[in-house]
Amino acid sequence: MSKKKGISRRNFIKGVGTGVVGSYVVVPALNNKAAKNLSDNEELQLKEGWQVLSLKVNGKKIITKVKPNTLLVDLLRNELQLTGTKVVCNQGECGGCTIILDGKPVYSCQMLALDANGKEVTTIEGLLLGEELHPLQQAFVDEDGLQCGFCTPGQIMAAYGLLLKYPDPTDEQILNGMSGNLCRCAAYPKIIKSVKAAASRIK
Amino acid sequence: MYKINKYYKPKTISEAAQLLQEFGEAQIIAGGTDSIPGYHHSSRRFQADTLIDIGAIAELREMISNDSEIMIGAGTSFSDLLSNELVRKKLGILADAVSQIGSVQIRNRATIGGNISNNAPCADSVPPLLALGAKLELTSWDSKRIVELSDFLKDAYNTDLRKNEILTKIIIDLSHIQNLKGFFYKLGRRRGVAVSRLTFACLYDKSNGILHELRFAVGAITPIGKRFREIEEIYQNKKITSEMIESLIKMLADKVLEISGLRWSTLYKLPVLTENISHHLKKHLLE
Ligand code: FES
Ligand code: FES
Repeated sequence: MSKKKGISRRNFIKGVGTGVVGSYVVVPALNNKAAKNLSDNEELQLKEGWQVLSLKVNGKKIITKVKPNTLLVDLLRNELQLTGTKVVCNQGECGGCTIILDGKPVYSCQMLALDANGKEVTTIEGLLLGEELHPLQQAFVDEDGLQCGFCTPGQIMAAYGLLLKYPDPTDEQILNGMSGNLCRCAAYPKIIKSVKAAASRIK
Repeated sequence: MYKINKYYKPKTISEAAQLLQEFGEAQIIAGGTDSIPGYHHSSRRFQADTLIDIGAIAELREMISNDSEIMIGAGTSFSDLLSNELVRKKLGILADAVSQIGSVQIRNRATIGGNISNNAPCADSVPPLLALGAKLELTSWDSKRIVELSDFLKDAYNTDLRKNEILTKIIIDLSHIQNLKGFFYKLGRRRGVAVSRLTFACLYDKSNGILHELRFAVGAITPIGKRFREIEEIYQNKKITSEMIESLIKMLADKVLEISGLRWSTLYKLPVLTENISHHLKKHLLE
């Protein structure tokens, strides 16, 4: 703290305690194992900075605890067992991990789970209406919009996001909206056909 | 995986600035589209174990404008920027550049402030902002300062941002750009999710065959986005001819070569630069 003027650590944390920096878990204030009677597991979590996370996934409210470095895609796949969302490039280039966050398509490999706190997530599993496929999913089946199918959940979620924004998309809007999703099998013409078919059915 | 073990999500700029002051070595994160892959690759630039997520700060997503300036909150996502009418109308070359960044998914998360402070050579919002003469507001817990974007960008992935500062606003003075028209050109390996190989932003004011004002900046072919004021000045108030445009481009190519040095890609990039820019400049200036 030598060069930094102003707030000392102690005063700052006091400030936090009195609600200056309100709404998140402030670890240092709890940092007393004996006083709190923590189990080993809880102590480890404390050290790793675990935080409570509450979000809505496919309409269901989820409250859990995560390590700060947990990616949203890992929370979905590993904790919530929603393995429809794929991790492919894991660096925001392929679209395989596309989900809908508060109504917009995003790459879930490129954000932390904690960043989704208080938000709403829709994954491919959330599109199912009971046992029934969503019209977008059905369109991909009918139009053969896939070969190996590995990129398909991401493609469908990108298309879902596209149709949320443009229910009646132009060709250009479709190409633009789908350009963040790669397909190793290059099923592109049929992917585009599927999206168009879905758009006209949903209309 | 990454060593991140503290994560804060303040609601106001002043809370964020206090946290930053307190931790010193914390990493600011907004959309995460650069920083998360950065952590993932154990990039040397992303080593801090404390993250301060400024994504929930509403003030940082505000756009304020009056007759003389537009102030864009640094946390504005590219998607929000694109859907802003004022940006599309008054800052056309910026909107053009932003519409070609990454993909919808990336534009929904990535922020303009992140693009600037990451200062990648290929940051696509930088050349148009340089041409527009953007200034930045940098905020720390006890002070604020305004700097020129061109001074802020030091070298690749390196800026004038101090450890306790947050980039809070991008300020564009409208009074000097009112009469300027312009264009933005990007060359990538493909159209979607493409890292730029070459970007060129240009603003000009011409009438009766005379070039009254010219501004231009390039990206991706120089170590950081770069505006060329010395060249701009030479061609101010000149009569527009093919020869004049060709000599301008020759001067620009020499300058780029001087800055970037000869690289394996120069043989490809330099002719591509001169051909494309000459095509666009002629189209805009001669017609
Ligand atoms: S896995 Fe997320 S974009 Fe490729
Ligand atoms: S169907 Fe195989 S990757 Fe797209």
